[in-house]
Amino acid sequence: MSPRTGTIALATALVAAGGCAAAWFEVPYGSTHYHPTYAVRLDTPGLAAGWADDVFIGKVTAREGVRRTDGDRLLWTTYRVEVQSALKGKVSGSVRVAQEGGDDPLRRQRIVVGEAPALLPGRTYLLATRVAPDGWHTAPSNFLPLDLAPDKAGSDSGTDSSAAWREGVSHPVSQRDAHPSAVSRAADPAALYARARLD
Amino acid sequence: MGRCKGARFTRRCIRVAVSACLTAGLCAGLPAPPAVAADCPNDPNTAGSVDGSELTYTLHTRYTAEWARAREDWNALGKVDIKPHTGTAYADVDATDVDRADIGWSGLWESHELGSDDIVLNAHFLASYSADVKRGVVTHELGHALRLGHRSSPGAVMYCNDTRTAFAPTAADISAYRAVWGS
Repeated sequence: MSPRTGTIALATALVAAGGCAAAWFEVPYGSTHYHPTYAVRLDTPGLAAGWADDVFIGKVTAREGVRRTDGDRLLWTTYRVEVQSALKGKVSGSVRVAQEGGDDPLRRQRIVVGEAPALLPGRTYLLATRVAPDGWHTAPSNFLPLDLAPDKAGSDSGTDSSAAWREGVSHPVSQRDAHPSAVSRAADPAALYARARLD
Repeated sequence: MGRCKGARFTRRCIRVAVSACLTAGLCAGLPAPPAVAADCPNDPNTAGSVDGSELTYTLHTRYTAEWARAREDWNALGKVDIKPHTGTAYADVDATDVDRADIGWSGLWESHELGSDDIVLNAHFLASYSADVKRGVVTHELGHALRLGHRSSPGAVMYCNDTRTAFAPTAADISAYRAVWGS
C-alpha cells in the first residue's frame, strides 16, 4: 500500500468511526429502573429530619448535568438550588444538590432510582438532604421532594403541615440503621458545606 | 424580644422580624407531609440479568460469604444456574461495594444494555448488619438479577426494606420464581 493509499484508508476509517460515534449520540434514550433495598425510611417529617443533615426550602434555578462516582457505577443529576429557608442544618446560599439517576449519555439510558421524581428548574421544594464529600447535598431516592407550587400546596388534607414539619425537625425520629452522616463524623463539617456551595 | 436592646436594637430586631416572617410565610405554604406510603408495593418483575439459563458473575465485593449463601439458596430452586464467570466475554452481573452515608439504600441492582449488570452493596449499612441481614440484602439483589420484582410482604426476601424478616427465599419468593422460571 502506498503512503497515499494508506492515508486515504486511515482517513476513511476515522470518518466512519466518527460517523458511528455521532450516530450513537442520536439514538433515543431508553429507560431503566434500578432496584434498591432500603436501610432507612424517609417517608415522614420525623424520619426524614432524623436522617438528614439539612431540611430546607430551596428554589431550583438550573439543572447542571450528570456526574458519575464510585467507579462509574453511580450516576447523579446535579442542580443549582438557592436556599430560601433552613429548617434544620447549616445549609445556606446557592448550593449544589444531587439526585440519584438521570440521563446517561453514553449508554443512552434514562436511569430511574426509586420513586423520587426529578427536580424541575424554576420550582421550589422542601428537601431533606445529607452532605456528600463529592461536593453536593444529596437528595436520596427514597425521599419525595415536596413541590411547593401553589397548585400543590395543601392539596391533600387539612393537616397543619407546617406544624408537622416543625414537629419533625424538633423531634426527629431515630432509626436503628441511620448511621452518622459524613458531616457528623467530619473534623471540619464547614469544609464539607463549603464544597457544596456555589457562591 | 428581650435581646432587642442597646445600640444594635434596630438591626437585630429587623433581622429577627424578617427571619420570623420568612419562616412563618414559607411554612404556612407547605403542603401536607407525605402520607406514610404503602411500604413496598408488589412490583413488576425486572428484566433480570440471566442469559439463557445461566447467570454468570464476577465478585468485587467483600461480602463473598453472603453471596455464596444467596447463590446456594437460589440455585436450589433449579432452572437457572448461577455460577462464576469464566471466559473472555463479560459476566452477566458484577458485584461491587460502595461506602456512602448520603443515600438510603444498602443494595442496588442495576440493569445495563451494554456490558455487565451491576449489584452494588453499600458497606455504610452492611458493615454493621448481622450476618442474616447481610445475607438478606445479597439474596434480595440476586433475586432482582433473577427477574424478581419487589413483594409487599415483610416475610419475603424480595421485600424492599431491610426490616424484612426473611433472609432466604420464602413461599412468596419461590412462588414468584416459579411463575417466571417454571416448576
